[in-house]
Amino acid sequence: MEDLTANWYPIARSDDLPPRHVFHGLLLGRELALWRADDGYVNVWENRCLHRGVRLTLGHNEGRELRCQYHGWRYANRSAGCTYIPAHPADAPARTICNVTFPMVERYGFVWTGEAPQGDVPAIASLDTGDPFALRSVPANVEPHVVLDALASYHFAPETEVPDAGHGTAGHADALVSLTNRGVGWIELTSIQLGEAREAKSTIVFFVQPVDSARSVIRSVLSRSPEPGSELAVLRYHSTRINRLRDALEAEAKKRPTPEPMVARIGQVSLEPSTMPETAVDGRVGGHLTVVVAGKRQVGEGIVSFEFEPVEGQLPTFQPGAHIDVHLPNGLVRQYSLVNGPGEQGRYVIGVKLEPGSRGGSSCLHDLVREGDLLAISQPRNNFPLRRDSFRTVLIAGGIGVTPLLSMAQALQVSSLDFALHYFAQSPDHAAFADILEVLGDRVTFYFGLSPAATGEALRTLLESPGEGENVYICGPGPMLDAARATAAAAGWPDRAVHFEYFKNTTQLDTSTAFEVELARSALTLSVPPGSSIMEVLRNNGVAVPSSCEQGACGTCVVAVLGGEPDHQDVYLNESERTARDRMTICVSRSRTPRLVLDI
Amino acid sequence: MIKLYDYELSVNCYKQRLLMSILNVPFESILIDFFPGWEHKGEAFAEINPLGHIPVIDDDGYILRDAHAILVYLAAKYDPSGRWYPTHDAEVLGEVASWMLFAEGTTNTASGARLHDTLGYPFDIDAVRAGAHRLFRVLDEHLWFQEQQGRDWVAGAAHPTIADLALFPDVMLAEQGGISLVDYPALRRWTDRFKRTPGFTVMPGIYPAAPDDSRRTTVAASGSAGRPVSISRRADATWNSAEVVEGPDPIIDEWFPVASAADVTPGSMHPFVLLDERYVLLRRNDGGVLVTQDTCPHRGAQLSFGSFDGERLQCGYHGWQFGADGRCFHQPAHPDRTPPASAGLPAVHVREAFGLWWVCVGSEPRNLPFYDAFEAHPGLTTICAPKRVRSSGPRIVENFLDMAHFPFVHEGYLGRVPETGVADYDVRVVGGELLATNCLFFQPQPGPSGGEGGVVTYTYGVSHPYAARLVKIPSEADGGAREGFEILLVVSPETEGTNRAWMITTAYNPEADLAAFNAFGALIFEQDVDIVESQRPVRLPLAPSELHQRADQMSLAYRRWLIERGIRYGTSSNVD
Repeated sequence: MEDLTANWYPIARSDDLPPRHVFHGLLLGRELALWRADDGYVNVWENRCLHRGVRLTLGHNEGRELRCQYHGWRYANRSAGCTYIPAHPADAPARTICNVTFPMVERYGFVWTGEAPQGDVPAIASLDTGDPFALRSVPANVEPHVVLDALASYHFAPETEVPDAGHGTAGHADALVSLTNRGVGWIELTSIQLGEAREAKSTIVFFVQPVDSARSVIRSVLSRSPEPGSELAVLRYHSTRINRLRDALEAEAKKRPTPEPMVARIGQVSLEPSTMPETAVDGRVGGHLTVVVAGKRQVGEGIVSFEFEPVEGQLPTFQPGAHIDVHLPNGLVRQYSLVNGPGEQGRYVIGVKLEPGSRGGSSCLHDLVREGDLLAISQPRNNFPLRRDSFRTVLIAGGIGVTPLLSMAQALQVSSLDFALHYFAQSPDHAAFADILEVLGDRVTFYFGLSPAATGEALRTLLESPGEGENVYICGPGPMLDAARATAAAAGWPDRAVHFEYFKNTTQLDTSTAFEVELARSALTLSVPPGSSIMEVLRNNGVAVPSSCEQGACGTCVVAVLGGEPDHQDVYLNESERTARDRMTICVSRSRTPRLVLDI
Repeated sequence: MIKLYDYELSVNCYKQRLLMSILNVPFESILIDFFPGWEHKGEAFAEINPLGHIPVIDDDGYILRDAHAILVYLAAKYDPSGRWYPTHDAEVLGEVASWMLFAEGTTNTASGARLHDTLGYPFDIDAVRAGAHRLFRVLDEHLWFQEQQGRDWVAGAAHPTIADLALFPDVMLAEQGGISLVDYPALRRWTDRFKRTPGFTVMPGIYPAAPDDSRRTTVAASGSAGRPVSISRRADATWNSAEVVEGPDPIIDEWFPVASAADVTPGSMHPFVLLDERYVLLRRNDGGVLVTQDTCPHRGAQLSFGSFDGERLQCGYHGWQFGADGRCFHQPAHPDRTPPASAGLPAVHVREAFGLWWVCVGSEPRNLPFYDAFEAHPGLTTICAPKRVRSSGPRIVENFLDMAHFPFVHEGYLGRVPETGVADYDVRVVGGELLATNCLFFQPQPGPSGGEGGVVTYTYGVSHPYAARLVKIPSEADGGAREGFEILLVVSPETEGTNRAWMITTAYNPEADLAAFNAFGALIFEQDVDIVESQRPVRLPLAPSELHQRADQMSLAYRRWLIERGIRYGTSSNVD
């Protein structure tokens, strides 16, 4: 029997998917949720939230993300990754949470998809060379193959002869219709009508979408558009005729036994029914991605933005506040925050400021990297997650520290949540990403060229009254960060409401201890002497471990702890992750117990 | 001020609330106990509307009945723009009148199917569903052609009219009557557009639309729509596979409620379906109760089609007569013979508790679900008439045990965005009951009496695979422990995918308005129905096929609890 899952089928007309709408589709017994994002991308997903199986067609197309109606889980445009779980606002969702997606092509006025389609969408010469005009789609409670066979005897007049369509004569009875082409799931018919003075000719292509074993949608397209002004008459002409054919087929189908409905197989996730997800630490090691520098432009005084597009496939899902490691041509690795708004999965955008004392990071990007270059980047990681359960969010940016806050501000704006962005910069020229700032509008307050004392005064004013259910996010140069933290604490902001991101670990490291590490998977026990890190000892013994900042800030080297008690010296893990004692950064953290068992 | 004789769950009453909300007309809602009280059929209401239906409005002494007539009146009188009922444009007005008549059809079919499925109205369900599909096909095609002409609404006006408003709720709630809208994409788009009308308001089962601010500037969106992507993942689990059954499912030894004690009067007969079998409950004149299969042992006819006089039951087919103990004592075709004992009706277990009659069809009945509130607060228990839900029992129970959906499904009542966070709580087993304690959640309106809103403390308990109880203590601002109440939800399975859900509520406050608790419970429940009915697979998956969040601690414990008890009915444990 023919494998229907290998075919492409049209599942909607392109204009069935207006903005902010979720289209409910059916193919081969499987329910699909289709939605067009604000960037025009059409997402074709299984119509089922991964969490509790609720139809996503009940949810909201928010333009960049789809929100499930049941528990408010959000899934990103393009990647279908989960970006936010409202029940746990402080945790970043695990990156493995990703909805089931299906391939999609828009062609001939339709959106095409399939279970696991092979090859390309059928190429139909008359449509490729013409000016295709999609007709009304008509659902029919009839077996797909029966519908296709019946359509072969569809009789119609060329569009110029349709009554009310200009000079039409309605004489379709003398039109000669012949089957001119056919393929898997489609047929092409051509109608020729000889008039007194001229010959009228027209081609129609029918596609039958197999909804289920006894349900179909008849989709049809003319190879060229009718003359302006007669479109509606042509649409009505065919709609009426296809309806009539449908009615006849349904009347016949009622006399036959109904075939068994198709059973679509649903996606599986590999989780034990009893597993409870832990507080998510989104710092697990992922493979590197190769991206192409699709754009490089000056976005502020001394600040250049880079746009990275995937060489193939999709970019992984990110959340507001996330950063990536960028592997530079000179061998250095640097972390940069993503500036992207929610659901902007088409490319990653970072902002890089040329540091006067650059050791080769920012100067390399500014001077050497060009559009068209290929770079390796890491998966996005988020140690600066944004809560979306605040009544009000205060974002305080100093200089280039604005980048993660721009991502957050766009997410808050899209979700209509109350926020204010306070942007401290040297001068208006130094304020980066004017295009984003313009969209944020009056939510942004600028502070230009303030002295340290004036900055302190401004911070005191805007942090003076901590409100219940409010959160502050601060990113900027060290001294300003310290000042803001101290000011917030003095004003009575609770620790849990004040969020910082560190790109550097300024903790004084204590490397005086000695202990043993047992590598459970490698069946190896090594001793770590004072002055050496676990990572160094591992590398000296030939155990490869990924790392990035190597100062306990980025989370690249987090590993699971199976035994012993870690001595956390990083700034990556938060308090609850530390007390759980089940993971650690091995670049700076050590052991409180004589022996530590790691899952390596 | 306008008085609206109103019922929260009535589609036709909602149409009036919706129009008055859009036109910003203040009104007073006079709630009628439509179900289960049938107050609109009572003598007192007959003076207001002898036809015995709602809505009715009383606008300063002017009384008007019939939903669509009231819409005409309200729009003509209170919409100065004249857009909702455009009397100045004869053609559009004609179309409005035409589609209003069409809406009578969708009310009788689509909304009729909903009444059948949710409240058990005795309609020919196949006929009303087929009728709704016929009308929706016409409406979908009409709206599609309207779209092609750049028109958004059913009549040829640039603004929605009362015809759109009259049709909208019938369409939106059709799924509750088992009428899928999947074949009507233009209809679905039109409902999205209508929801964005300024002043739009919801009723249970209708959710607001995502705001359409797509035309608001977006930042440098670079898109390549149409580029094929190749990240499809092969699905490899069955949709809802049949289980391999080994031995009887222990579900048969559980008790399930089948009738409210108040309805079971002497001499009455109550047919019902339980666990795929039909049964009948008979109350004798002496007060005794017999429950037996509703099938005559002779030729399988349904016994409840026959007659029962409080002493004897007579099959309507060949007139076999059975005593109230189930013994067959008369076969009219052979009046002189004594029927054999094998012609009798085997009885199944039945008992009364918490104001309900319960039945167990197995041979070794287990305990009733634990619910000590009934005795601890005598006279303060009320029972909400059962709602039919097209989902599995465990899906319905799990929804009852879940807090994280409150801000999204019960916005304004049991939660609100952005206060969505669920703190960890304690789960343990105490005396065979699975208990979740210290469950805290912010609620704007925790109960029927409204109030200030605050952090509510819940306790959830499961001691029966198809039941769950909750104890709810509002914040001090909303009365604290004095205003607390408990609810026992028990789901009675007709089939694996069709259940009747009963809710028993016990208030702590001796002065509590119990009818208001019932109405509140019904409203909350109605908000959940569409969501729960949309869950796939229908059976609760016990094997890995869904993702979890930390707030699901109780639902996961419940799934484990079902696994330990070997409950297969309504669950799915296939992993391949």
